[in-house]
Parts: sequence; C-alpha cells; structure tokens
Amino acid sequence: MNETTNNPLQQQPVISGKPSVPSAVAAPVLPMSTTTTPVVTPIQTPVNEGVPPVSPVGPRKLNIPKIDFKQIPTMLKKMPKKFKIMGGFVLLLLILLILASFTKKGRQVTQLILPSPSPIPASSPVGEVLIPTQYATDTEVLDIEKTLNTFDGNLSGTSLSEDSLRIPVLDYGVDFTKK
Amino acid sequence: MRYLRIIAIASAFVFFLAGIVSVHAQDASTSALTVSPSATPEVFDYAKAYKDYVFVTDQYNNAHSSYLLAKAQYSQAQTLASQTKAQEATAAMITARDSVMKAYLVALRLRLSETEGVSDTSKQGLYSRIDTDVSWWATHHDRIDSAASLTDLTADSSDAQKHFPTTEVLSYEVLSTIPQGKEFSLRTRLIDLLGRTKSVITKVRSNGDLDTTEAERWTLQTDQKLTRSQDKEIAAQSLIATLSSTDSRVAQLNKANTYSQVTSTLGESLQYLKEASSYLKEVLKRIKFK
Repeated sequence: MNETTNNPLQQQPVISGKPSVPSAVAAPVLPMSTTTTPVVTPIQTPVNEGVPPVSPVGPRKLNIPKIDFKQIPTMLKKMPKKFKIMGGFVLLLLILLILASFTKKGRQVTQLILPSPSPIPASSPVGEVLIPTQYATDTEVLDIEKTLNTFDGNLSGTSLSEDSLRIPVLDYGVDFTKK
Repeated sequence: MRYLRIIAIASAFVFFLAGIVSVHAQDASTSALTVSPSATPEVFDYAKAYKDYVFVTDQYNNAHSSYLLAKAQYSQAQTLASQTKAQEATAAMITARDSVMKAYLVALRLRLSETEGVSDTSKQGLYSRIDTDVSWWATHHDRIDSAASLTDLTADSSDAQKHFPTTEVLSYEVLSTIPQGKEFSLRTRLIDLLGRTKSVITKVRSNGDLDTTEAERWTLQTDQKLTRSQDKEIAAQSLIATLSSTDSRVAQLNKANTYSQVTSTLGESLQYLKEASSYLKEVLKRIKFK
C-alpha cells in the first residue's frame, strides 16, 4: 500500500487558494494557514481500539486531619499536664543540642568521639638490684670513692693547651733601606 | 642684758671649739682607716703577671702603629724632621717589643712555677734559662736609648730578630712541660688511688668475705690503661726533646707543629687516664655491692 497517495494532506496542496475539503477527511479539522510557513502537525497518540482506556492513577491522599492553627492554643490547654511537661523538656533539650553544636566545646566533644589508638602497654625498666656488702660502709672504701670523684672532676676540667700563652707574634723586620 | 650678751658670746665660743675638735677627730679616724688595709702585701702571681703581659702588649700595638706611620712618612718625605720622627717611633716600638718579651717570659715562668707534676730539676733548669733570656731582653731594652741613628736601631732590631729563635724554643719547651706536668700529676694521683683499692681488695680476700677474682682482674685492666697512658707521656717527652735539639735536620721543624703534636699525644694519655678512672669506679662498686 502506498502511503503517499492515500494521504489527503499531500493530495490537496495548501498553496492552491481555497482547498476543497473532502468529506472523508473532514472529521479532524486541522488548522491550515494560507502562508507558505511549514505546518506543524500535532502528534497523534495511537488509540487502541477494543481496549478500554486506563484511567490515570494519581498520588494517594493520606487521611490527615486538617490542622486549624487557630485552635492550637485551645488544644494545648486541653492537653494533659504530663504531656505539656514532657514536651517542654524535649524542646529544651533540642534547643540545648542546637546551641552545643554551634559552640567550640560542643565540637570538641564530637572530636573526642573519634577513634583513638589504644595505649600500648610498656614495661618500665627495672634497675639493677644491688645488695650492699659489708664494705659498702667501709670508711676506707668511701674515702677512696670520694677522692676518685674529686679526681674525676679535676680530670675533666684539665686543659692541656696553653693557648693564652702562645709566643707573641711581633714585628722584627725593622729596615729603612727598603722603600 | 650685759650678762646675757657675755653668756651668748661664751656659748658661741664653746660651740666653735667643739666643732674644731670633732673635725680633727674625724680626720684622725679616716687616716687610721686608710693606713690599716695596706698592711697585706700584694702577691705577684701568674694572674697578675698575665695582666701585665696583656697591658704591655697593648702598649706595643700602639707603638707599632705609630712606627708604621712614621716609617711611611719618612719613606715618602725623606726629610730630617720625618727621619727624627721615624727614629723616635722606631725606638719606642723596639723598647715596647722588648717589654712584651720580658713580660711574656715572666708570665710563662710563673705559670710553670704554679704547675704541679713538673720535677724540681726540670723547673730549675727552665727557670735559669728563662731568667737568662729575660736579662737578655732587658739589656737589649736598655741599649735602645743609646741608639743615635736609624741604622743603629735597625742593627739593634736585627739582634733581637737573631735572638728570637732561642726565646721561641724556650717558650715552646715550657709550654710543653706544663701539660706534661699536669698529666703526670693526675696519673700519680690515680696510681695512688689504685694502690689503695688494691690494698682493700687484699684485705677483703684475706677475710674471705667476698669473691675478689673479678675485682682483681679489673684492677689489672686499670693498670694496663695507666701503662698505656705512661707510654703516651714518654712519646710526648721525646717530642719535647726535639724542640731543643741541636741537630740541624730536627731544628728545621716547625716548633708550633711540634707543640701541637705534644699536646695531642698528651691528650691521648689523658684519655687513658679517664678510662682507668672509670674502671676503678667499677672495681669499687664491685667491692661495695654483690
């Protein structure tokens, strides 16, 4: 089947002044301009014949009762005292939590929560255990030790080079013959 | 009224007299205070001699600067006035130079006298040489005044220049002897301490209180360190001997370098002493504790 021959729009050119509209094709009256501008045809959705059209399913509406803001004070008045206290307490906690999150201390608290390495157990070195002999308090031994300590001090403080007493460098080249 | 006037005049006279007496008393007390501290004579030691040496060196530096200026002016102008000025400046410089050498040798002598560990024989030998050298510089110093011309002064300076190597050798000998004496003194003290420790070990062993085998072995090692220290000292002594050697080949050596070698060798000797001292401490610890 040739589609081009059957198309009534192509058979009746738009340029030819008053077009004679065929009766078979007159049902959908398309707007036609007399100018040479291209005609935009609307997209035709295919229609399935025999199949009943599916009605569009919109979002389900929840059964939330409408809140009348004018009635809130009266509702609060009617509320039991226990709930009022609890509500106030929760509100206070919420405010405090918000304030704490903005302060530095609050941030530090969050940092403390970060994972930290667990301390590694380290054994401190135990010094050599010395058992004193009967000569630990011997006067001669103590005297030798004391003298040795003094000697050590002298030894470390000894300087061998006498740098301040190096022979002075003086001018011996007195000669007036040279110019 | 008449009596009152007499009393007033008399009282004024009394006050005037009292004032004079008090002033005289103050004068007497201050004079007594000023006299008393000068009772103790000032000791002329190395510190004082070194201060003198530094002061005289400063004077020499000033005189040398003046000499250089006068010499330059004379070389340029060649006038009689500049010649006289150069002569004066040269004489001042040479006398200041001699003073520096004298002060230096005196300081060196006192340093040697205050050093322990140098034998009396060595000290006396060096003292005698130092004294001779000081007298040479003193004679030279006194001779400068009689110099009549720049030629005389040049000749006098040349004499000092010829004598300088003698002083140089002497000073390096003294400078090397001082650390050697220090090292010897320290080693002697350590040998004495080691001897005392050995006596204690002998006592402990005879009592049978402790096992002294280890302590005795350590004392032997301490002994070895002391022997090595002594070997280094002997090496330093042989280096010192080269300073005054008459051998022409040895005499050519740089005295300052030899002195550096001496101090370096004695430094090694001192290191052995430190090790020996450390060993001895361990020996004592071994005796005191199980």
